[in-house]
Amino acid sequence: MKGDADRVPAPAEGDHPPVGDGTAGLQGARSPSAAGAQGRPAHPDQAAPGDWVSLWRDAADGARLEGEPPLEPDEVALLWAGLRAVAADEPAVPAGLVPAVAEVLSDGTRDGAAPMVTGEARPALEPVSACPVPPGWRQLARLVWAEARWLPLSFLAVQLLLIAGGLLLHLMAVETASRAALPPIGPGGARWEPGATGAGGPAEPATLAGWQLILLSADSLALVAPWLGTLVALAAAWPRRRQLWADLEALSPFPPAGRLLVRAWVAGGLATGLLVVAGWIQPALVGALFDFGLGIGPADLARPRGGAAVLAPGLARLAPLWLGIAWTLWWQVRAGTLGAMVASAGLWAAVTLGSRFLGPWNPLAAGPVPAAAVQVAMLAVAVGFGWRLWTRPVPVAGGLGD
Amino acid sequence: MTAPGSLPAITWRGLVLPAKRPIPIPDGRLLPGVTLVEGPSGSGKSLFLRVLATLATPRSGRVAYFWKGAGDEPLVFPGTAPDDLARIRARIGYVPEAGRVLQGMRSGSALHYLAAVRAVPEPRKAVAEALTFWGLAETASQPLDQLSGGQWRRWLLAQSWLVRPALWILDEPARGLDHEGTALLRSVLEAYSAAASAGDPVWAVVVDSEGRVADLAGEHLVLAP
Repeated sequence: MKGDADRVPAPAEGDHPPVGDGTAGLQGARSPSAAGAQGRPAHPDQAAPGDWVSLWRDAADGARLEGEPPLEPDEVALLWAGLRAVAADEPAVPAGLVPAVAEVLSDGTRDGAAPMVTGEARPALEPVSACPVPPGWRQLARLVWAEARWLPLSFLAVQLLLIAGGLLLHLMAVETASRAALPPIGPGGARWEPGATGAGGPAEPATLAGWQLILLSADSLALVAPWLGTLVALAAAWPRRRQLWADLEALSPFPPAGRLLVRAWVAGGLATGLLVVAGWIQPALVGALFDFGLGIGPADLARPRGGAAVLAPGLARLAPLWLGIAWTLWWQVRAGTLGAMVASAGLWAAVTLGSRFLGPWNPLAAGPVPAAAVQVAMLAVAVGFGWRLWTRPVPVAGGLGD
Repeated sequence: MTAPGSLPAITWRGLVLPAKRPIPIPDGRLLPGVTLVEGPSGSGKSLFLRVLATLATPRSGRVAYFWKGAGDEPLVFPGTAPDDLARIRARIGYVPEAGRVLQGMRSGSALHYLAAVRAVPEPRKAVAEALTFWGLAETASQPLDQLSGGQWRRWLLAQSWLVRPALWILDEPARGLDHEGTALLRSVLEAYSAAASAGDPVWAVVVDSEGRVADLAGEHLVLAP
């Protein structure tokens, strides 16, 4: 863009377009090639004074050829005044801007970054050195943080709804079950004993440590976990699949499946946190609503006992969640969103329906070995899926813009 | 494919665009500077830009870029390894023709997010500069879907400039852009011309059906219907 000095000088007040021959205007006319590929001045302020006269003459000639009346001089004067107003309103672009930006570009094509001259009214632009390819851990950490910071709230809301649904499901299950049918706490923890016999409940409340509560709750939410995992994976791919945004993201140096995985890490981490929080409150909720008399208090929650012994099986019980995520992502990449939904529904519906026949090997069942071993295997499979996705060289089907 | 002689160039051969009706593109090359892509509606201008930006895979043919990959081989698309594809993309800035996305996300936040996604080495600085340079500083806290048409076009230009692209691909960048925005756009395009004239391997490839920046093009690429 030209600077102020190159602008069209405004005609004196009262100027009118010459209606006569106007040869002076013709001398100032630009050739189409100089004006641009379209054969017209590309912008009003590129025209020399009098340019509009030749244009007006051309337009008038064309109008006459078409049998239309040419513009009246007053109309032309009005148009000219309008153009003057536009030119007067146009903000200045610093004269030094073009060389400054050119220098940025030149520096950007070299390895080193150097300071540069800036325009008068514009901020300093400095060359951005090319990002490392493949990106390093610092860039990965920034991406994870960015995903966490701008996680869509709609996703969070749906996640909360699903977990609330799981809690409700559990409450209903507890309501219809006998107290003796409550699942055992876990391989490393104490079995929950209902206490004294009798229809009225335990004579002495049982006390559960924090980790035991989590295990109990993870068991209770096991049926929800795969679907939560499916939601996590779909949410990781869904909100940004619109083409424009996907195009912008596709220029990332991170592999497409890698970006999907990072989103899934963030969303999965959140889901894990929500499950654990639900785990803290769920037994208390059950106890409060159904008067089971579990002795749960802040002291118990603050002093987990046998944490190391139950940590591994506790993590293992998150396996349905993480396998749900990895399984859905795997199919999302290969078959798109619909394929992922079908694959996920197929797997978990089959597991749920087949649980009666799987017995203790049911991966969604609560309990110790051998189910815990199955859950550890599920985690291993989930990690394997994740690794293959991260190193996947082909584009993502139907998502992330590739 | 390699550039003829020692001239830095982006070349393509046997390219067929992936439209419903396949669109063959004659073999050609882009020399550094500003190139205007012209052609009637349906001639594949936007699709050609998307292929250049590695965002659409051609039915056949390849684009060979000026830059070298990890193995000192010329970078090509499609058919390059993921890391080499990332090397191409790290140098590209893309301004799409239209569209609104991520309702509710703020203008500045969206730039920060894209800076992280594009692994910009100094994201805060790059975002601050982009916002100020393109006159968006006052709209940083404004949701993207509440930007005016002109501001939205500026935002698209700003995001494309986060990486100071060596290959700047612009699909109707001036459509809906206000006067100051057009002036800035023209300045930057002039800078591409100046840098290319000075021997730097930088390209700006533009589709501009309104002709607002067409006069800045040093080369014209005309696509047949």
